[in-house]
Amino acid sequence: MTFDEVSLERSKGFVQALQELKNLRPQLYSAAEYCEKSYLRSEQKQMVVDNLKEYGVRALVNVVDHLGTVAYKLTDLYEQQSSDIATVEQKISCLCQQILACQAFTGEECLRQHQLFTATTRHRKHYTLPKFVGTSVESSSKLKNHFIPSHVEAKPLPHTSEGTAAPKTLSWHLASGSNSSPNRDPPHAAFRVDGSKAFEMTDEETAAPLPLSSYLQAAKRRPTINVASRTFAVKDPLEGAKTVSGFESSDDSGQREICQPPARNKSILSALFPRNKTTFKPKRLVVS
Amino acid sequence: MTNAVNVGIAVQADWENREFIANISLNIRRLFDFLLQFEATTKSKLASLNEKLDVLEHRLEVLEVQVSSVNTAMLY
Repeated sequence: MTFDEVSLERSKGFVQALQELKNLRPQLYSAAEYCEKSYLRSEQKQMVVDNLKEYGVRALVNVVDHLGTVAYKLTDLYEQQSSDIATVEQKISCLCQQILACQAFTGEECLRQHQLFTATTRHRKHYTLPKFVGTSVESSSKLKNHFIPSHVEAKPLPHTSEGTAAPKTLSWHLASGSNSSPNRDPPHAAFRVDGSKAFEMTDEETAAPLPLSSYLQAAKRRPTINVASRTFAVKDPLEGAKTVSGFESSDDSGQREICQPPARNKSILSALFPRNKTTFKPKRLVVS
Repeated sequence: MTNAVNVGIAVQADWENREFIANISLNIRRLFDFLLQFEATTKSKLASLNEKLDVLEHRLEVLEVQVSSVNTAMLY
């Protein structure tokens, strides 16, 4: 039997018991009228009374029995209905939780899709290596070839094919660190430059100054020292002092020793964050 | 003498009948009290059951509205 059939049977039993209890009333009324008439008609009244007493007791017991049956069936039906309601309540709470979970999930999915369309982080050009590292290496190698103690020329790195100035310092440093040509001293090494050396520097070195060229300039000119600051002014007798690049130099001496530049990190940092983008006029300087 | 005995017997029978009637009445009153108590408890239980059913019905209506709104949102 299914659950519905059991519940139907229970409800039918209750209804039947209630109907039987309702049918007891006319039976008791008919019995009371019969006993009254028989007591009035018969001559043996004591026997009628005794019979009436017994019938009354049995009727009362019967009514109590019927009432108990009805109460029991009604209580059983109530318990069944309450259990059904509890299961329905559980199912409804499960549905509520499922809907809440679906809402939360859809909300998270929407947020995730929105986040996908956010702008990606942008890096500064200083921290991105150029694609033409090889070309920059070649250009730096060319620069190294020209870097001869007798005749020094400092040429700027060629522009890229895109027409923009490349982040020369980082790539140049990388190239200088990777390549070790015998003709060229590393930029961090100390070197001596005579006074007769001449060099020229184009004005294309505006995006990022080359530390090597600055070294050369410092070697041929009289660098004014500003130990406190990292920049030094290069005095041109014709044009006055100009700040070229940033590195610390030693004392002003006749030998024009350019001391070993400071740590490479500082030079890289100073190269990466140039302060002045001044344009240089190309000049040939002769240091006596 | 016999009349007195008969009256005595009649009185005794009357008292027994009255006692019987009193017992019957008492039991009927107990039955009536039981019925009253049974009716009160059944009424309270059915009222709580009805209240639970009302609450469940309201929750179902809310769920139905939510599901219908989601369906309309999905359609659009």
